[in-house]
Amino acid sequence: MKYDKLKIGVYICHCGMNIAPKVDVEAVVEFAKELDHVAIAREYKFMCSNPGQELIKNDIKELGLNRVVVASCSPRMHEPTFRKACEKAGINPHYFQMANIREHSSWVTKDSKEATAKAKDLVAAAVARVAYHRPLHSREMAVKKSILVIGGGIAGMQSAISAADSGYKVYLVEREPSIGGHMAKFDKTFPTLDCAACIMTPKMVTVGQHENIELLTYSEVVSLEGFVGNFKAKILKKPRYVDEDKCTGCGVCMEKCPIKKIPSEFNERLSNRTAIYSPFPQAVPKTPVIDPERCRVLAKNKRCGACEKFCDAGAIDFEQKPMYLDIEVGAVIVSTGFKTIDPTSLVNYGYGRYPEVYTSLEFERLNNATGPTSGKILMKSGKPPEKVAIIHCVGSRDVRYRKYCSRVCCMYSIKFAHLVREKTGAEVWEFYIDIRSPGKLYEEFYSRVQEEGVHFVRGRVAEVTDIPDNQEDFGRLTVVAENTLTRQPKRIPVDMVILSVGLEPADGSEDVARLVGVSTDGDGWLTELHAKLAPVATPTGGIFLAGCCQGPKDIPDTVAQAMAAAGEAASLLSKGTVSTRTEISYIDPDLCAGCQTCLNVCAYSAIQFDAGRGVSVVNEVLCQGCGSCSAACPSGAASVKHFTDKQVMEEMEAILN
Amino acid sequence: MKYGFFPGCSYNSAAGYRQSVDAINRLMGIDLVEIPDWNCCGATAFFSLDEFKALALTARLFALAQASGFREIVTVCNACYTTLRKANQILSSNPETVSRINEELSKESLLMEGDFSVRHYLDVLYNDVPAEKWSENLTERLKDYEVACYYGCQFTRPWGDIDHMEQPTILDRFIERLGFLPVDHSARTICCGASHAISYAKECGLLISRIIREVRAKGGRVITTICPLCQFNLDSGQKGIRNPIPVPFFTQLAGLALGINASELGLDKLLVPINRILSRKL
Repeated sequence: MKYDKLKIGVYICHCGMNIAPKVDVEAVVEFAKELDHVAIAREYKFMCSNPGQELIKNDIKELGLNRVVVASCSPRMHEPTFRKACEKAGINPHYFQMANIREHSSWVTKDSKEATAKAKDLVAAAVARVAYHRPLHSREMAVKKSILVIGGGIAGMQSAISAADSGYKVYLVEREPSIGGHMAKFDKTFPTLDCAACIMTPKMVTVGQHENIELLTYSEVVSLEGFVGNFKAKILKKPRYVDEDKCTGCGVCMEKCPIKKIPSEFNERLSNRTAIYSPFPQAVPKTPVIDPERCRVLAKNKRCGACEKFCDAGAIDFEQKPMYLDIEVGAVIVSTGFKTIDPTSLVNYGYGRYPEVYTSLEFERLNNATGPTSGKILMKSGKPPEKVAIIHCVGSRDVRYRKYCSRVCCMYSIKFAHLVREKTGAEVWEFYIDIRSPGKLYEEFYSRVQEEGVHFVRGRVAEVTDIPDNQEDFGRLTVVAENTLTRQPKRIPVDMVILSVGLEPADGSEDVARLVGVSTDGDGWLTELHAKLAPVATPTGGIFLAGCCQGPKDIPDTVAQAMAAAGEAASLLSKGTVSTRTEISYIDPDLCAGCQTCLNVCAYSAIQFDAGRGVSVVNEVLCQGCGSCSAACPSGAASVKHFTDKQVMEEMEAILN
Repeated sequence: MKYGFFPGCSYNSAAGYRQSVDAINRLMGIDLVEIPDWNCCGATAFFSLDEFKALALTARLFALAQASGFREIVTVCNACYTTLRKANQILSSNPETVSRINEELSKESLLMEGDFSVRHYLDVLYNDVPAEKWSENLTERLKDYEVACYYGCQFTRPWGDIDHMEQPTILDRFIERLGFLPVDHSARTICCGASHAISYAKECGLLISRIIREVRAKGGRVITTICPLCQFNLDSGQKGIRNPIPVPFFTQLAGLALGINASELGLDKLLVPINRILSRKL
């Protein structure tokens, strides 16, 4: 539908030195002036700046433009900027089209002539397309004043507390029996050495008691539907076999349980737990769970019920079934965290083969007052070590495993060295590639530990072996490495080896990513909207990220990000309304044959069949505008607004001509 | 079972290797057909000096095997094994190099084409000869006879396909099948010094004694190897050590398990005599 009165304004951006001088901007302006319906073509240094936007607004008002094309960067960042400018000047925001001559031309083309030619093609395409744009209007919809937080480690807990403090209802879902995550396993925290439990347990209690937080532990999110401001989530509450309302958390059931030899996940399998268990003494909630795979009653259908007999509160319930909970929320914060790299496959470090080779998490438990040795650093023989080696970058910065730096390992390794020196007086050898201590008081802590007499050897360890160089070291381990600063090969006999394993995304985080519609990078970390300017938002509106699910980070960064995510979610909710999507599917009832093919391809269940009229109808709230129905529709009745066949074909034709 | 066979330079001179391989082949019905007019494989040295000539050298072997109708080549030496595999890997992805080499080979009316399968004799004995065939033929029960398996550096590295790169167990599994008791130890793939044992005798002496000490500490009474150079270094490197540990080839142990006479297996050629242990046990 072309109108004779079409008046298109074309604006070519220099983007400082990013587009010009690679693209001959003046030549593109001259070219644009000759295109059909173009009333004005201009260039400007920064179109996204305030004066740049004013240029557009003035032209709309003074020249009566009714279509606008800006040729600049990717629409991802500034399409909303220019649409808003159009709207302020009085034309429909969808009468705007952006041509990406930066990422698609100047940045990726070596030859200036070719870059200019391509920029011209892209501008011509945008001009051809914008002529067929139709005005679209969104509706304001009320948002649900509640937030779903997935994952109850320090990130999820902090997000929940911050959001709940600002008055919103928060559902905190944690798959384990208790909140706390990895931080609950730590002993001290770098660089200030405050005890993790001392700073963490008050937060756990706050979460457990907060009037605005509904804590759902031992639970998982199984589905999420809807869109920003109006999500519907289904939560699976796994059966604890213990009634949370009746249980007093006295712990007598755990004392009486006869199945006592189950490796404790919380203690990194260094000690045992019972079949009815609470992962650690400070667990929130205190209600234990029964491990259905190990309990004699549940797994083997045998007579036991010791816990049931001794429970004065009558809280044991072997008949409990999985429960599903449907909730409605306005925003979602994902904080699914990390797991540590399993070093078993790095066989040259001997993990799993030599008993005195530990992962860093195992060592955290050895160090912890509630751990298997009550916080004493002891070898399996029961004696304290006299010499300890700490190997950095295990699985990190290694092309065979994970290329990236896991960010936290240097600092926790230095913390370990300090704790070993303090608690046992043992000699400590740290083998590192580079020491990375960029944080407040981090470098100072590193210097302090160096002064405590810890040996720092710059060199990647080749192997850990039980072959000693001298007979008196028989039974110890030998660490083989090159000191690359002195070019000396070293073979250091030690009693204990700690592998500073790197971080990777938690098991199941890819599933959560799929569930909430957020993409992951090549390593499996969830991708934020913008690495610098939108670090907690995601391309999916209303979904925010906090903590290590987005990439390795330490506790201070995690807490800061968690508060940021809560702030972003709260600001979305406090506005009260969101605009509905405009670029959604429309099924023309005059063309629809009622075949219902579209119903099967719609991933969002956004199409219903109107049996009365015999046609399919799009639910405007649920439709995400993916276009599957449009592609599948045999009669051409389904199309996505703003991506109609005509618009796309005109755009392509302009490029091909 | 018929294979093209590349003996390599040390096969004839190594202590009883040829005799024991021949004896096993006779008994198990394996036909190793020597590639006619074979030449040096170039080992590791030549590749670092002139890759093209080194590749031409190995390509000639492949061409000779091809002319005799073999696409599968069996070796008895770790260095030959890895050198030939490496060459095959490079050649099969570089058709240009192959055509340049074929020009040279045409002077001898030879031609090399396509991919070859290079295999170690241990792989053949373990994977191609059925387990039952071994158990049917075992005559001597050597249970509780503690053997430490030494793999050397080039059998599993860099390949890591027929077994784990750093902690292989295929030889342990093989001798267990023969009735021996493999001992777990940490020296399976650590360096024996290879050819440096001659030019840097002192330094290599340390490497060798580290292996011997580890085996002794873990209770091994015999070290068995799958490579002539490993065998030579470990056997000759124990001069002056009290209670040295005998170092027979895996084929010699297999021969004993099959009831073949010790002298027929060339066991009398070992520098550290094995007789004392044998006479006590057999």
